[in-house]
Amino acid sequence: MRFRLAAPRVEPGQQLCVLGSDAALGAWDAARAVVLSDADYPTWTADVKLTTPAAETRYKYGIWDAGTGQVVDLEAGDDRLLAPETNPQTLRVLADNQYRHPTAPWRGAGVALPVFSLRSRQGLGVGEFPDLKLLVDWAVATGLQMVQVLPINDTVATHTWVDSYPYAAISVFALHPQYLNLEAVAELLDPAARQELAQLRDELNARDFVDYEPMMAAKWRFIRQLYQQEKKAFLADADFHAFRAEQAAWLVPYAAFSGLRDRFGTADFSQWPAEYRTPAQVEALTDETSADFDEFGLFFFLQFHLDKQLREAVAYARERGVVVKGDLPIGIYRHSVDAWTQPELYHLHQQAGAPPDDFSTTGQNWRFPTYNWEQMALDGYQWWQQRMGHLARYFDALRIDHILGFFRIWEIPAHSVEGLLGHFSPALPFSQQEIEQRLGWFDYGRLCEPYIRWHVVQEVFGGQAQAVFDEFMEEAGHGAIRLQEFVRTQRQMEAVINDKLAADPAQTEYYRWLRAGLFGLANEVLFVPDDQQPDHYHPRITLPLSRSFRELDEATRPRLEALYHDFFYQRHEGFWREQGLTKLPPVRWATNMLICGEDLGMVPASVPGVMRDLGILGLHIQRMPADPTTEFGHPDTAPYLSVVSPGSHDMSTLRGWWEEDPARTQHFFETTLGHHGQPAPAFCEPWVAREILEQHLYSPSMWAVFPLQDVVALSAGLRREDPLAEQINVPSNPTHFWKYRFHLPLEELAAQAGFNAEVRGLVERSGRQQGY
Amino acid sequence: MILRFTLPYRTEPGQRLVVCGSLPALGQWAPEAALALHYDAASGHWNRELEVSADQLAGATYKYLLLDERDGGRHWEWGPNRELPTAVAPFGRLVLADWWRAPAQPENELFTAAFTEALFRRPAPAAPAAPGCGRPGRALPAGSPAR
Repeated sequence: MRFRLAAPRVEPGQQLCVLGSDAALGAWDAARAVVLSDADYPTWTADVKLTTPAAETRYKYGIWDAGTGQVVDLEAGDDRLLAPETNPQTLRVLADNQYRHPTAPWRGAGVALPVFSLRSRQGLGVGEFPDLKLLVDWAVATGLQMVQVLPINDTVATHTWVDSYPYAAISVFALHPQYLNLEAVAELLDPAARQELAQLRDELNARDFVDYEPMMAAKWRFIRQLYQQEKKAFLADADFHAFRAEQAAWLVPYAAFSGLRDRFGTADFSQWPAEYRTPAQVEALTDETSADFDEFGLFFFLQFHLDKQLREAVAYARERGVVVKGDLPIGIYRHSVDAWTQPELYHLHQQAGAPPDDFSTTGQNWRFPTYNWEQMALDGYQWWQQRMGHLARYFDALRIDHILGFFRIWEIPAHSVEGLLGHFSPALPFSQQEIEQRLGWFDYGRLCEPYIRWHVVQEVFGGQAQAVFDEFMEEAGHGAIRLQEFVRTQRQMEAVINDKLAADPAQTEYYRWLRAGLFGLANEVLFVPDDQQPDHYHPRITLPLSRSFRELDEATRPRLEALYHDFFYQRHEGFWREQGLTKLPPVRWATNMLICGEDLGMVPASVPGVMRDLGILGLHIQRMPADPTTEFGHPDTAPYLSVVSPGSHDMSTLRGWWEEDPARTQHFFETTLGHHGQPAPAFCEPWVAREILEQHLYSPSMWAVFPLQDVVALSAGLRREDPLAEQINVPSNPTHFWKYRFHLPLEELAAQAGFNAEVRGLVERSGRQQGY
Repeated sequence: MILRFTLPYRTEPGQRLVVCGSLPALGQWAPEAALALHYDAASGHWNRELEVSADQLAGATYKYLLLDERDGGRHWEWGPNRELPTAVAPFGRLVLADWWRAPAQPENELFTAAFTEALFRRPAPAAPAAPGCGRPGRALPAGSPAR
């Protein structure tokens, strides 16, 4: 008899055992249970020769504690049965059904903080990979079992603070140089350099944010110095050669790209000399014997050590039972190694973004090219296999940013700056005939050109109306007005205003106001023509909010509204479901990571079902409920396969949110926190933060993950004075400076025994710290 | 060597179970050529017995597949490919008493790396694993067979 049971949920120090009616299974005497081997974990096995195989055998699995040598749990429910077997020649191999745990489904809690936001005494003005160990130690002390970070890939494109944005990587494989801890590479041999480094460390760590440019300048300088110092030994290092051979597919082009970026002063490879616009020279450039090798060798050195430091930190976490969860950006950057080496995989003329939502009323334009899924399918999604496989080198769980993009992506035409004139792709646009049937008429000018009349110009530009009209507009007949040829699109408007700004910086405020007004006029259309099929149109998103819609005749408005509703909420459901079921499985099954999807925004009805079928966890943010009829979500209603969280890096912190809108806060305090008829405190006091955290901890969701800022909100003594300084990103600002750094060194947080015990108590009482 | 597949499964009318795998008798991963199982109403089990030569067993893999004649649907069970046991001498008959592994079950996510590599990570075994158990358990849970 071979007993086998697949059961991952067994604590270290415990084993599975089998106990049953046969004498060889202990004859129901727990002291004689047969302990199973974990050599094939998560499958447990034991070979047993039954004493009386010809009789029916009853048995159960249990959990056996190696420390006490006792069975600490015997599974609930009926006995398992083995039919009599009389043939002595028979070997029975069981693959039994799952262990019946006595407690509720497993649930855990975690903390979220970008790596750059980690603060330690050893870091050089920014969080570094070894600092993850400090956060892991703190997580262990507080009973948290997940550390969630933002994307960690290299985003060095311009060598300015703009590169602080972590979602526009120049390589989906390479790691960002800012995360390298210099001391862990090697000690600087030059005493003067050592002293200078120590001084810079003090200066940069004294700042209450990540001062990206001076921090990177310091890193580059000492990385170059270390490279020169260590070069000889490094190039002879067998570990490096193994790394280079194993990772060559991305590493060699990346090193070449980075060296060329610095040689030509731009990551925009279309501006490089012709011979480098394709990766044809990659091997020659990175040849160790070439005279210019150091330009590229530096990046081998850098990536070898970054990889080593991150893997060490992850191994440290795993050994302590802590999951490190990574983040997969939805897009790739257009000036990246990926676009340089495999342009056929992307639609480089397109811009990806997100439709309008709570984050931004005009939508978001990330300017990422969209994926050419048809091309990717040709080789069985190799690119995704490689990308996910590489992430699995570091992470055991992964957040997929904007998972809705796998169903349909918001595609914005190149001439648009804002996101409102985009359309979903793929989609099923209406034909002209269909629109005509449903509206009763079709007039291209009225439906597809910006709706501008004199009273509109007056409303938008007030006293400046005549001047703006004279400069940018012209009569189009029958009272209609159109934008002049040179400012027909937002990109044209942007260029014109940029020139004015450059010429007359004193008038900056006025020109920005003018630009906003012109952009708004360009958005005043009801339909957007499809760029593939002639005479096919997408209703403009949020068109019922437009002036153009409001000024339609009474008969047309309800018809157009019905058509709009059909388009965005019904017409595509089956179509987008098929898209998700085609694109997500190769990503989901490429590795064995636990996958969580960031599914906030305008969610097609088919998304939750597809995610459930694929075992992908959804994200539930209290203040952004998926159900549009509710103002606030309640963590109690989240399904098991989900992550609940009071906020994300794209929002204000709990404390910041509390102070934004007193009326809303009052409503939340009464309806969601249950303080009916009581006035809400003006600030999110520690006891309020505690109630909100508890609500999340007691959710049935598999995970409750908290931004570190929201956890320290529990302590009046530890939390930062100004909550607004704790917001990581402001999504409505496309060029936000990502500079948030936690205000306390993690060494100091670790020493807060009382606070840490309080957090641990909250987590334990909620049942999010249980083994079997 | 006699090989017997058996698993409990309550099918609906129009559904049937087959076993598909690397062995020629199991269709070499072609679902059309998979081995049909027979339903035994008394036990509620689907079974099939066949003869294979013992030297074929090493490295052989298989999975169950639910065929639905109502809509032509093919539904693979969840999880990594099953491996046939090795070192079964001196036995002449091998009974594989399996359970259908239903896809889209929340518990399936406990087999991901978050759980097996971190949360419930087993300490590195002090002694080398028993012979025949050399492959680490980092298998891909796939909706279709990993080949």
